[in-house]
Amino acid sequence: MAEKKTIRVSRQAVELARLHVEAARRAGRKPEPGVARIAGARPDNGNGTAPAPA
Amino acid sequence: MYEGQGVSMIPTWISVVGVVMTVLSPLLALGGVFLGSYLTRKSDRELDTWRHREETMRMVRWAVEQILAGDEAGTDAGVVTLRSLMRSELLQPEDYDLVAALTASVAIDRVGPAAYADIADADIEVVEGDGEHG
Repeated sequence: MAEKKTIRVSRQAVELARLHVEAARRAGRKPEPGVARIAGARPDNGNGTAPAPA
Repeated sequence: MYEGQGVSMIPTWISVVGVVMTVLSPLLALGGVFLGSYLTRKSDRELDTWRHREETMRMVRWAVEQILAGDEAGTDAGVVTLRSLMRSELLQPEDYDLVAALTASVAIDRVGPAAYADIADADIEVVEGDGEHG
C-alpha cells in the first residue's frame, strides 16, 4: 500500500485554523473544509491522534 | 343670602379640581423624577455598551495586527486574544464572521495556496509541526 502523503503545517497555522472553526461555528456557519482539516491536524509526535477541533 | 356674612361661594367643581391637583401634583413630580432617572440610566447603559464595544474593537485591531505581523509570539498573542474575546462574549455575534474570515485567510496564507490545494485532497494527512508549510 502506498504511504499516505503528509503535509506539515506550523502550530500557528493550526491555531488559526482552530480559531476559524470556533468562530465559524459560533457564527452558525460551516467552517472552510480545508481549514477545518488543518484544525484537525495531528500532532507530530509519532502516532498521536488528531485532536478535536477547538 | 350670604351677603354680609363674609362667606364666599366657590363652585363645587373648582373645589374638586383643587383637591385633585393638590393630590396629583406631588405624584406627577415623583413620576417625572422616576422617568428622568430611568432615561438617564438607559442612556448610561447605552454609553457603557458603546465604550465596551469601542474597547473590544481596539483589542480586535491589536490582535489582528499581531497576527498579520507574522512572528510566532505575535500570532499566538493575537489568536489567544481573539479567542478570549469570543469566549467572554465581548465580541458580538456579528463579529464572529469577521474573525472566521480573517483566520481562514491568514491560515491559508501561512500554509501557502499550493499546499492548501493539496490539503483539500482526502489522501493527504495533515501533521502539525515545524514543517515546510506555514
